[in-house]
Amino acid sequence: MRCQDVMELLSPYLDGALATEEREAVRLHVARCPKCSAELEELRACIGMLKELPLVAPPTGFRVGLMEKIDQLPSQQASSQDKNIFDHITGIAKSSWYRVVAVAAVMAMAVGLTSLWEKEGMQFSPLEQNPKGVVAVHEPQKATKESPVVKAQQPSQMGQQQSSEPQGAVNNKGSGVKQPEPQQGHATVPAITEALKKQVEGYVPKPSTEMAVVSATLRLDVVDIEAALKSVGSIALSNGGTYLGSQDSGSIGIKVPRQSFERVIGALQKLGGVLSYLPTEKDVSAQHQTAKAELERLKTEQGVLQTKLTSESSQELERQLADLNQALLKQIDTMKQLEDRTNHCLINITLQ
Amino acid sequence: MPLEDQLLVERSKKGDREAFEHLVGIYEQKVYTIAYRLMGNHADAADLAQDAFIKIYQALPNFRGDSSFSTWIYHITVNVCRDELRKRQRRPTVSLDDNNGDGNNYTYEIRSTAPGPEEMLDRSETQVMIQQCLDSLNDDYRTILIMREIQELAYEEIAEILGCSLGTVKSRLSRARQALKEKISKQMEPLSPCKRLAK
Repeated sequence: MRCQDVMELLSPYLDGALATEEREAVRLHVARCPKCSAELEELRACIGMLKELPLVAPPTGFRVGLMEKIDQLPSQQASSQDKNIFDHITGIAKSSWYRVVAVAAVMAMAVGLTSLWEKEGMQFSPLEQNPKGVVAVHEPQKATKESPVVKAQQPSQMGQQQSSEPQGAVNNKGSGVKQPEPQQGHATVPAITEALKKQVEGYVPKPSTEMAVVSATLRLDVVDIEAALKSVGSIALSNGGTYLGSQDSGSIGIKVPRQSFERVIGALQKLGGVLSYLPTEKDVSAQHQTAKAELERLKTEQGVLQTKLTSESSQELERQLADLNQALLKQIDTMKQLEDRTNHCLINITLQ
Repeated sequence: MPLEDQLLVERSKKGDREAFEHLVGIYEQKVYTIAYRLMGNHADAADLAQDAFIKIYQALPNFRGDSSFSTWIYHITVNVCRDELRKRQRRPTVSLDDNNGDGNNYTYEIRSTAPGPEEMLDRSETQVMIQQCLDSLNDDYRTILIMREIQELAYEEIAEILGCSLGTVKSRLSRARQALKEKISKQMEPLSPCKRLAK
């Protein structure tokens, strides 16, 4: 069998979709042809990466918005006659979703961007990923329904501009459902505070026990540096890892999930002679415990301020509460990064 | 179909709103993920996942259980997204709302492959890269990859949904995977020599 024929069969071969005879022919060819063997592994790595993409959680308010749309649907029998109304509602919703999500993202970025880089110079993205591998997207749902988007960016001015038309209302606008009149005067907690509060309450810190940051430095003696670097890349990707960058031609940093650490190290050591291997483990339980205590302190302070706000109107108090919530989000970001460091390992590989 | 799903479907068919909301809760992540991977951004994913659920709600009385409920709803989700992608192919997608001077306002849409701020926030470097590579594939390739690798559908199911032969599924999937591999290799090349998957 020629290489060209085998290449075309690699995809169904990986799926086990070839007849026995063809499968065997491909297997034998791949076993003795380095080019086709490399092609097969690359294809397998690509498919692996695609399969490992996490589930993506819908934005907050997705289900509520959906059910409101469903409630506004005409009866099944009349649906065809009222298709224009349906399209109208859907169209309005489409234009609003983007603004809502974009504003939430800008707010979150403003808080989290400065803390993306940790001291050692390694980058960790502020990824919130629960144990099921679901990525969450936060959206200030409350703000979208009760306050204009522009207000969400200017917390100190809230309560002064509440007569303007709510731009973020997704489901009620254009559907004949009257918007509730914004309340004036005291006891009006800024909508941004509510939205941020939701994010604060949605974060549950991990237990502070046995939290360790694992990293390793590995020096390998290899025959072909270029080929070995390529293999390091494949090993990292096929184990759910990422690249942190290449400092020079023979050195690279990778970040891999904690549970894959031993497997990755084992695979890397097979690439050449091990000149040195230096694993390190740093206990960060105390650091996490301190951060958690600070988070609790901020939450308590937040509760006190909120209680005050329900009994007296004060722009100063509102400003303080907005500042406090920003501090809370920063603290949560810091803790998430710390937790992320315990979930992943950094491996620096030098090839020579 | 799990008994819980079966009961919820039966109750939903009779107009039980709470039961349908429960079903949405069970399947929303998968439906949203399919829409997101196909469309490449959260704004479209949110709209189309909602549209898909609305279609599911409207079509529920006709669901006879010939296929599993999950297969049925993922099928609807893919179709909703494919319809939208086809619509976009038929109309210009170059600029924002525009008045072209002839008295008619035309609404155009931008489909950017660059991640928006929300995408940058919630995805790791590799995931961003993979999604960008997916986004840059043609709709047919992207769809078949998602059906096979994310929905984990069998060749036969893909053939049924796409209305094509098994041979077409096999060859299209093979070309799509090859195209994705090349895109990923290109993405990795400028960053570091070791990031090349293929020369």
